[in-house]
Amino acid sequence: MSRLRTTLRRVPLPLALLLAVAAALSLAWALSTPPLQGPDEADHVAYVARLAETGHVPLADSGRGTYSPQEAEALAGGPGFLRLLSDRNARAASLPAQVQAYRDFEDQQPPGSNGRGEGPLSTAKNPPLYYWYEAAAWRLTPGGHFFDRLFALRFFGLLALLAMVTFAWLLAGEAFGRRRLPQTVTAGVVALLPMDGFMSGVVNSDILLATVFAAFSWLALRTVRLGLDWRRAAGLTLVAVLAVLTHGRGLAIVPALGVTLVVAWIAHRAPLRETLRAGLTAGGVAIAGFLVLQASRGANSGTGGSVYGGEVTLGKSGAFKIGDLLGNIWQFYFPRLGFMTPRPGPGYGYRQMVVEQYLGGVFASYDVYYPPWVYDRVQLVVALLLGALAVAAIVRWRAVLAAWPRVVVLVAIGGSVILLLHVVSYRALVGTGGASPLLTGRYALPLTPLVGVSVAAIVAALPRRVAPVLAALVVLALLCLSIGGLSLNVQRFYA
Amino acid sequence: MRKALVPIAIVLVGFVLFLGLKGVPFLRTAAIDVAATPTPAASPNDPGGVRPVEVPGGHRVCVDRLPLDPKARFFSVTLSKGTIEQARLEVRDPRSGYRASAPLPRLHGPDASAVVAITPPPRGLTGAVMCIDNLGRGTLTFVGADHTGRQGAPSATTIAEVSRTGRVRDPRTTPNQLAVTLLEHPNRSLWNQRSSLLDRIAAFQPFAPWFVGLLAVLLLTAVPLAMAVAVGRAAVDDDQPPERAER
Repeated sequence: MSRLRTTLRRVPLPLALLLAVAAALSLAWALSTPPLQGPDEADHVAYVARLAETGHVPLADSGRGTYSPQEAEALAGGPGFLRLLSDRNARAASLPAQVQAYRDFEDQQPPGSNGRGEGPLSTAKNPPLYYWYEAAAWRLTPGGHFFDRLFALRFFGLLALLAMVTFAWLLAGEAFGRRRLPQTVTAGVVALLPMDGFMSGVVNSDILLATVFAAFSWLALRTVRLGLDWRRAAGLTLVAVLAVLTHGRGLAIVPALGVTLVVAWIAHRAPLRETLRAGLTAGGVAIAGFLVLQASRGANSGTGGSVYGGEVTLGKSGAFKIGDLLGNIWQFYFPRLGFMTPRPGPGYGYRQMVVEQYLGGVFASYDVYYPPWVYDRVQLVVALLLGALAVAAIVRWRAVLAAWPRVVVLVAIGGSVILLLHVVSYRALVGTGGASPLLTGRYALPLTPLVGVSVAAIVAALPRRVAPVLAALVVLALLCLSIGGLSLNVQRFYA
Repeated sequence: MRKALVPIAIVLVGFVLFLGLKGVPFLRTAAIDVAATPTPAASPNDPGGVRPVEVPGGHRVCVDRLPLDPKARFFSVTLSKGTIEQARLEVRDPRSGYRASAPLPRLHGPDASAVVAITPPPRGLTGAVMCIDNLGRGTLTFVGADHTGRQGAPSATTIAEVSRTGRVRDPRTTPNQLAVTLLEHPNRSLWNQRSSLLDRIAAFQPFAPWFVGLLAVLLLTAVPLAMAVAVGRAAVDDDQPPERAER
């Protein structure tokens, strides 16, 4: 007990406060978002229910029913939570008689009926790690009522956010050498960004993927600082495997892992024997992870045996052109140049995805959002911060050069995520004739610790008298955004 | 310590300003206080989602399987076409014997909301039926919505002819569902809805309304204070010699 107390006392006060704030915001999102209103939340819950109750992964393309009777009733029966997804005028069911009627229905169901959601299920193509994690929450929920279990699943998202805040703090410690203000800003961005709080308050694998990326980013910087040995190589590769086992987008970690290992070797020039041990260990962990992925793939016969249910491909042969991809990426951020082929699909780019859906935030199933002037301000602030970051890098170029291993690794992690998102989006646009860009703000959640580090780098570059002022303004802006978003969420569903 | 004061002041004063400039007007916003939307809640602002429910003179439209609550004292339907000359709204629950009725106000479409106060049941019900009798000659067209797909609700809408003696003839279920909204109050500020909001948020959650209220108070007081102290303390720590900052 005294050991635990000693450990807790060693937690720096700013980090302890940030964890408390993150927990409060996540809990508020979990309570203010009606059941099953997160993006694809109903399907993620159905996956967990099936896995927790039967030990089997649901089927992607076949099966006798997508949802258990309990979830189907919650969606389309008396509570009617499905109607909220497509009807902005509908309000969340909340009358005591509706709650009682649902309880009566639930009590009439035979034992084991919670696991009857066999498929077809859209999320069944996902790898299983997140669902194993949430299955523990499902099994641990006392009483076994559907809505209590749903809250427990959301609560495990809160725990993932707390881990993410902690990893962001440690990451900033590696990046800035345990300077508390940059650490507070980095972890503060993670704790206060509205999309982080919202996504941790609903059932969705994106929050676990973001947490794994935060852990990887920290370990990667630690490895390039301390040098490559077999333990660090194994740890880093293990975290990369966890990302790949969490979601298809976790594959973005693979190139980042390669860059980290190479940079760590170049920076420290470890002896050949140690390098070989590290390489072999990393390879062994990667092979073990691949076997687990294969086994989970085999368990899901409905995915046709392809990786991530066929989601990770480069599309139709011949349709994937590197020139078009580059033009596509350019037009996502900037106006089209004369020689470029017009980008297929809807008018969807940096403003919509990065500003509105990620840094500002769009909540529930895209039907809770701020007024346009808020996104205008967010866009302006982001532009100012990007300009400030560029100026800081130029003014402090010697320090940036001296820290090249850390800079290269962080750029590799961020670049891998962004490039994978664009490649997948391009593939989807080509494959669907421009119907769906398959790109949304929450896909950028793994970048949040890096966004925090970028803002903290500006703070760290400022004179010590001015730095706390900028840190306070950043924290204040994010806090107001979060409280504002929560208020709009409550108004949308309950007022 | 002085170094901590500036960031603490920025966060706290800034947050108080935010509450004053944005929070207070937001809470003063007057809005209908919706208790439940048991049917597809089509909006006249979304013409693509609106389906007409036509009730000729001498006919009755009914919606079944409605939940009722002692707090929900108002029914609201929207008239998209026609003029309500004489119409009556009746609510009944076959199981408990509860029955209440009230006349609809005289209204002209389009997009006029008819809000009718009724005597609510003494306890919550889930199987109530609401009917509107068009006692006039002209056809009334109410706002409805598609019954199929994601918006589908368990309740059904039927239209029947009503004789002068009150006998119901030839009832038929319509493909379009009448949009019915239950209100606690037709117009009150979010601040005045706060108690109901806490009840509604907690309804399907494993927490009591007071816990949700406590969390809201913490979000508006303790959270900004914690953030201010975190930044202030970090600023002070960075000014300390390294061995002290390590702790």
